[in-house]
Amino acid sequence: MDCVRAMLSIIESKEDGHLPLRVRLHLSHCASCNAEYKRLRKAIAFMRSEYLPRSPDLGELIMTAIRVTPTLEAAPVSFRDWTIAGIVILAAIAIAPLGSAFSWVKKSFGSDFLLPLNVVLGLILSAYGALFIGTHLNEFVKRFKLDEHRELEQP
Amino acid sequence: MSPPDSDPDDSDLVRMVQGGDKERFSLLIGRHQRAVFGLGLGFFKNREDAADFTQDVFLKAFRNLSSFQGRSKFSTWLYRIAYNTAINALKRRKEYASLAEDAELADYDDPERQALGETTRAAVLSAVKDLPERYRICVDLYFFFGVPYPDIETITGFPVNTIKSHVFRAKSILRETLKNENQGMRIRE
Repeated sequence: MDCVRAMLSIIESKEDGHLPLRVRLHLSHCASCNAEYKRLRKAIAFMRSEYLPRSPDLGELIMTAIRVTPTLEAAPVSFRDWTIAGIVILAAIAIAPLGSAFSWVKKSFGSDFLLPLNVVLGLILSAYGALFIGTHLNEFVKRFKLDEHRELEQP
Repeated sequence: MSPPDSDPDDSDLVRMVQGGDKERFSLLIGRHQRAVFGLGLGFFKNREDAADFTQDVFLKAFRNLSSFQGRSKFSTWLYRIAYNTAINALKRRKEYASLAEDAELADYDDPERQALGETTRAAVLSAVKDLPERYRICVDLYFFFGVPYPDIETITGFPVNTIKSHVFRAKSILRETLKNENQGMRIRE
């Protein structure tokens, strides 16, 4: 491996000390690249330790506000899990008429059970939708950008 | 998991706060306020606004801590809150000035460290000067905050290849600047 490729590889690598074997071999016999590599690492270590500005100590100020904040909200079920649950419910409703149990009920009761069944399914879907939206109101507002209209309406 | 009172890591502290031990949140503030303040300074360019921003970010983090599920590092999650808060406050202008522009580096007794300060500052300024302002934060997050590429993607939402190319260019400039500085020193000697 030549010096140019070795330095390119060093620049592409992360600063966790893990370099490809070929680069490490090159560094072991090329004093100039080795010195350059060490300078680069030293510079980056310096930047990570010295550049962040000193912050005023805001800990007590923030904790005072936090102490009067009532309690943490209960951890909600994530948006993703709710969506998956909704898809599973819809899929179950869609494939239910194909099952043997459905055929047996239809054979035994005719079409009389369809109205109550649809009412029950409608109630389940409404409850699911209401709970999903109610527990993720802020997320819906952000995802569908519902707050933009409110911002525009405000003077 | 480490024992509760040794030196709990961020995820242990988060679990304790989620379990109701609010006071442990002060340890998280102590660990991360400098970084959040630094981000605030990059966006707002003055210490008062950066301090208000820091308080706002930590309060938001506390209020939303129940939704933190540990899929990313706490610091990444916190920086994402900080980034979004700043972007919203600036009305989506996404302007960001590199910390290198106004860095208050100490006066080092060691001339080598003094030179390192000047060289790194010159290199970063040269690297970010042609970058659109909204991408400058990628270079700062990598060099000054030590945030890895995938986490920068999580925080800013920029594609990881875009981030890598900006950092690669900045590192190449840093390498060249260090090389020239070293050659200059040799000539002076």
